[in-house]
Amino acid sequence: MVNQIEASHINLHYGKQKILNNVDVSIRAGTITAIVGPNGAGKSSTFRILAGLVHPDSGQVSCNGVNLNHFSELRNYCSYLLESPDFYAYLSGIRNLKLLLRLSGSSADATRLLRLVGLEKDATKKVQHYSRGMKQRLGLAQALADDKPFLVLDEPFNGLDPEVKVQMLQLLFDLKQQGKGILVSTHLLEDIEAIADDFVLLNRGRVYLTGSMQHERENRQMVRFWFSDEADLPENEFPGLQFKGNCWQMQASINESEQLLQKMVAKGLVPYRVERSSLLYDKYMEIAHDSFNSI
Amino acid sequence: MIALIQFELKKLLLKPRTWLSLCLLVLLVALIFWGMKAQGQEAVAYLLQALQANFVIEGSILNAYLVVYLILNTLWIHVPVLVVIVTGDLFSSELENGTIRLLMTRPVKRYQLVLAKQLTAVAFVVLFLMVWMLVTIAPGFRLFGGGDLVVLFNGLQIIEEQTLPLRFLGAFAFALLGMSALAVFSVTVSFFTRRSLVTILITLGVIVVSTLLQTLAPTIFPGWDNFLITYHLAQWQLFFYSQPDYGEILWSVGCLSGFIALAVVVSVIRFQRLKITE
Repeated sequence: MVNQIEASHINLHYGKQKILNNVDVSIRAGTITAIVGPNGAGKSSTFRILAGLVHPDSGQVSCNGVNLNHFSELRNYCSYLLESPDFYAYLSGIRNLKLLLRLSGSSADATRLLRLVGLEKDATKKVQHYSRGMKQRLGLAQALADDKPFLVLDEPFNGLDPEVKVQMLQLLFDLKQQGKGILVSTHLLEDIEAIADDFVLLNRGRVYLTGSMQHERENRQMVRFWFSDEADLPENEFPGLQFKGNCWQMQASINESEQLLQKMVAKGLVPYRVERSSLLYDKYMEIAHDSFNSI
Repeated sequence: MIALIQFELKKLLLKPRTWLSLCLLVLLVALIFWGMKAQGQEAVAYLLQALQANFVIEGSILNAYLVVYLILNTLWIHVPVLVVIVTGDLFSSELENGTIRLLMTRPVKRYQLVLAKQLTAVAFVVLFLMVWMLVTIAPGFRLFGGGDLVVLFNGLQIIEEQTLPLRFLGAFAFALLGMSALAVFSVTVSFFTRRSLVTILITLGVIVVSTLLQTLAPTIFPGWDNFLITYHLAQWQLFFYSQPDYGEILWSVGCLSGFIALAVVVSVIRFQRLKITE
């Protein structure tokens, strides 16, 4: 039983350009680790290395603390969905999936997998007629086919309709509950914050910040309550709340925010919007802003 | 490895390009048959008019063996083109379409993928030659009948009918080796170019340049023929000498086999180092 995969000190150059600089990533069974970062941060390069598609200049990888010789050996423990998956365009979705299942020696039922990702109606359609979102779902189906303990998913929500995205987030959450370790990269910070356990924030090929979402949830962050009309919140009942910029705000943990909200609703004051910033979100915006300014 | 080869063979058979190539082959053979049926007698009479003054020719010189021999001459350009449009695409299309990531995220080793691709290329050549023989030999005999083979190739070559089946079998077997070498070469080129069209153009370019050098070699580079792939590819013709030089044939078999082995080694080394960034 493999409980943990650790990749450490990953360095990568393309020509003279440094792509990854001493990057460390780990995946634990039964958890979701999110890799986030703006474009060009090195997320996809990290995933390509973890898939054995690109050999890093240096770096180690281990399973349960035992070093592996090559990153490609991770394929024995991980299923992958790499960014914008492509399939054999001249074959149908189900034919593609069946061929891949056979190649992996998987006994999974292709029809069931397509049903799981909502593609059963388009199963016999040639992939050349698939939209980006449909290819993404087919990519997820092939990643779920192998019963490996870890899932490595690069931008799995790209091109998905909102309702499908919600289903996929639920699916990832269910897989985590079943004990799978999941590494996922995404731009959807709010969504991933809801289901992820750990995060790695990359910027320009370096690990900028790592942390636990649980810690993030317990941390006090700025919470904003927006009301359509001017709401009068008595200071003695809501200590610390300040009226600023058309909303009431204060530093609070998730639990404190929930209690405040319940209190407001009990008083008949229902905000039309509640916002809670997070360290991850703030840092992401900070580096995204820096990247934008440096263009 | 077996699952990987099966995977590659299935894809080969499901690819429209495979069937397009085979259909073009059938069309090519049909056109040659049609031309020979319509104009063959006149053409042969014209070519052999000098001979008819000195020899008594019994039976039909325009027979199935002559037609199949003429069809074998498509090994110079037509057949290589039809083979390379399929084999040159086997690996580069994976890079071009991004499907290489699907393959390489399975428990597949890089050298295994290279070997599977090269074996699939050879398998296509086997399929191609089987179809070629099927659409050439049986209809050829039905349309033109048998007889001795008389060809003008480095002088007049006259071969008795009873020895011809073995000679043609030898020529087709040699063609199988030659086209396999070409197919393996095109797959190897694709590990460097990453693009199907570029692979096909480079492979065919090598054939054209090599043929040109082969023409110049005897005068400008005497003794250099042996280093040219087209020199060895063309040695199927040796089976149609009245007295075949089997030593020369075996030398070319050795050269082509060595070339195949070298190309496979080069492609394995290249792919081991390739960064898959597609």
